[in-house]
Amino acid sequence: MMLSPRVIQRLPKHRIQSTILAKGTHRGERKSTKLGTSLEFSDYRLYSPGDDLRQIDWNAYARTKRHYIKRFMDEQELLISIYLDATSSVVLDQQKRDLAQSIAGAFGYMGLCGDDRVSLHPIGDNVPSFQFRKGRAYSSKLLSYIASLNHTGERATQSFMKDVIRKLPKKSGLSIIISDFMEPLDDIKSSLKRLQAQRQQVRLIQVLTEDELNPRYSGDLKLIDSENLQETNVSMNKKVLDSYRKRLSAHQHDLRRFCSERGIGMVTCSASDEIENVMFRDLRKKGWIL
Amino acid sequence: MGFIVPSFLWMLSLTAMIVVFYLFRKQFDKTQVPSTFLWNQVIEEWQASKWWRKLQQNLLFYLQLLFVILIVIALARPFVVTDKMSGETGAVVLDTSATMSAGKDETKFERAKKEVLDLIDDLGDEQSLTMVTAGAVPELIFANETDKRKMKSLVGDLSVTYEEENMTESVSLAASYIAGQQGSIYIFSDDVEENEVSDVQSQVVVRNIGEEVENLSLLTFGVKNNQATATVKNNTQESSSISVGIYSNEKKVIETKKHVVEAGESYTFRFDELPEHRYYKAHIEEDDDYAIDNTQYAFSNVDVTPEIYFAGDVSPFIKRAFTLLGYDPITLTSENGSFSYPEREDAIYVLSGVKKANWPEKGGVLLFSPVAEGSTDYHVKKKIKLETKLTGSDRPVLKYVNMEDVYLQSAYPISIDLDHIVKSGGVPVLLSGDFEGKQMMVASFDINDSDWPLHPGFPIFVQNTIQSLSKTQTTLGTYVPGHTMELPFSSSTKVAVIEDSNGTTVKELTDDWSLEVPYQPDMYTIIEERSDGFSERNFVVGIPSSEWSPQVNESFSSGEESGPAAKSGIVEWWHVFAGVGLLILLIEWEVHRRGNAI
Repeated sequence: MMLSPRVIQRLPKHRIQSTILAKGTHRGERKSTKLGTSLEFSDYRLYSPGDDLRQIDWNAYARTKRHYIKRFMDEQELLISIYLDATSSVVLDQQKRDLAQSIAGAFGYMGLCGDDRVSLHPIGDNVPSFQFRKGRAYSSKLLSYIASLNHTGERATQSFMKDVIRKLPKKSGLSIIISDFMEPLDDIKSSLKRLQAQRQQVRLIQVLTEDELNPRYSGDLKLIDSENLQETNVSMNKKVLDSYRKRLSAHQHDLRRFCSERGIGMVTCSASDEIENVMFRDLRKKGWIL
Repeated sequence: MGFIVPSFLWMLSLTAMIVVFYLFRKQFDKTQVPSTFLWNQVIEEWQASKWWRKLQQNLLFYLQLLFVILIVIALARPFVVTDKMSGETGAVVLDTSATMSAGKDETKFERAKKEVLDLIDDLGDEQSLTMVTAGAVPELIFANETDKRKMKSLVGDLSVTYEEENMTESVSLAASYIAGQQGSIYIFSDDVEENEVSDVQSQVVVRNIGEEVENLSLLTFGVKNNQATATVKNNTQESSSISVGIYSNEKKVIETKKHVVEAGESYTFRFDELPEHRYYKAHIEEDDDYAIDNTQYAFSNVDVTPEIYFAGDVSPFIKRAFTLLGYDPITLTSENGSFSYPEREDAIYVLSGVKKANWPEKGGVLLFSPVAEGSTDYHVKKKIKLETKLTGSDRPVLKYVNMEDVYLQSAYPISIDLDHIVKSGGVPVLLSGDFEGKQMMVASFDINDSDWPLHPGFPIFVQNTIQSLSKTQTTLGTYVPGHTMELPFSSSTKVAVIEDSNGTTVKELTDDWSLEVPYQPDMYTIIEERSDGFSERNFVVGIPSSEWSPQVNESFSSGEESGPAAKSGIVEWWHVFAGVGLLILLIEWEVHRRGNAI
């Protein structure tokens, strides 16, 4: 189990924050733009013919001899789509895979506990997606679903970001993308644009291993790409490693700038981080969860 | 099939190097990483930024071109001509005489050695060299040698021998080695004159090294009756004050005197009432360019080999034994039975049939055939026949002398206060000891009554007797460097050690008693270990008088080059090109091996 009971116990106490106001027909726990049937009081207004008689506040009538209708806030659900990178590049390193899956599970669990509709798409894996489910009852199912992703079967070698747009949600909602984003920036940009066009609030969580963030290789290495098995001969030395670090920070910088221009949130975490620290410290600080 | 230069097969070992290169070639360890997305960018950037990467293809081309050019040049066997020495061979004559040790900062000999080494460096590959040092006896150092390293090490080991140079013989020895070949003789000396080498057939190049030296020399030094004289000469261009110090054999200064001597003049110092010492050393205290003639030694009283005098009817057998041993005995004539002895303490008198009244008063006495007479302490009876065999005692004088085999028919019974060395029963026949202030050896028989002179032990007995009768010699005199001297060792000497004036052991003599005296001028001490104790004797090694003042002569060359056209020395350079070519090959290989990887 990648989520410890301690984390699972803490998760329901937090909620996923989103600026997207829920719309739709299904009741949820989020404030809607419309007035509705929740227990939360909104205001009074004078009765006019055609209004539901059941909504007349008789206590107010007794005090004022006028018919007032008591209005309540409407609460609706939020659609949360979690795109988990399940390609070889994430699965290869166990720490990286565990953290990515834990984050996905934590968001899903939190969403389900918060009465939101959650779907989880393991991009690059042949396992069918966890389609929009709602309710606390599905929370344990979600966790076992994530556990089932730990197989050694075949993985797709397609680009992760290109595959994300195949699973675009129909309605507006929150899209959380968990990946290492080690792809050409143009691919990432075009996919994110498509997601935003679908009225999604997009949040990126980048998970990188220590070897990717701060490589400590030495000697002559033949680096093999885990996805396309492409081989690259590199003689490690200080200059080469410095050059790699420069490249990495350039890539990160470009991605971040694009995100901030488009109002997309992005967080980078190292595979060696604890899930608790990521969820309850980094993401809370960022205001993504409450 | 065969190989012309099989020695080059060692280059096959280069194959091993290539195998090693192959074994240690760049190997890339396989490592799986999540993504090589950034790494590819890094590699691209790296390759794009290295200017020489772009040139890599061309670099290989240039290297290959260079390699081929170098190999072709090497195969063409390039050479340079050295003009220092012409002809196919040469001979060097190096003066090792004492005057070569003169010089201000660097001695003439060191400079000559450097010039010889330069000459060796400039030898062509085909040129050989012969080297002779011109000591008292010319010595061949190497002949027709081509190995430069061997030649250099042999030249480096040479040192000044302080002998008188024998230039004529050395040059003719050197000339004999280059006879029939094209070559010249190179003489490195300080004062060779043209007429010394005029009858040599080959071309002679004389290099007279050095300039006029500032020299103060101590010409003579003698001591007699505690008075010493030392003559100094100022060989410099201007007058200078010269101080002479007299040292005892304990190296202490006894007296120092100073006097101003005009240029080219001599001056004699006198030292009176010197304390008694075994030997004295005189030394010029001033520093000059030729230090070796600034010191002389003198012995206080010169004692030499003891003189032998015969008196009376000495048997020819005995005379023969003395001449065999190298002594030159003097026979004394008698006047009415008495002899006119030279009153010398260090003389040895051999008496035969001489009455006690006619014995000498001093010196050692060897007495044969005593005359029958009688007094209180000396009593000789008539000759009697001996019945028993001779028995000898263990004395140094009888070492290597076997008395048991000697036949003695009759003897004079004698009574004298001396040790009995050989007896026949109760009758003493050979006696020795101190008698009336004389060292005595008495043989109380007629030599004609014995077969002893026919035994090989007889001359040994005579030598041992001379040794025991004479006073111990302490000085052996003065020798020129390298002189071979016969040391008069006693038969009981086990080991002898030669020490120089500083007490350092120079030589150890164990079984060879002839000695080549050391070359370095100094006072030496021979310390002998005998069966009856130690004894010390001194001798001096001094430079020959011809070496007292260094002369200077101009360098010159004489004689025609033999042969119509002298072949110049040739030094080949092909191996340099081949070596650089090999290096280029290795660089090329490395560039190739790196390929596209960083």
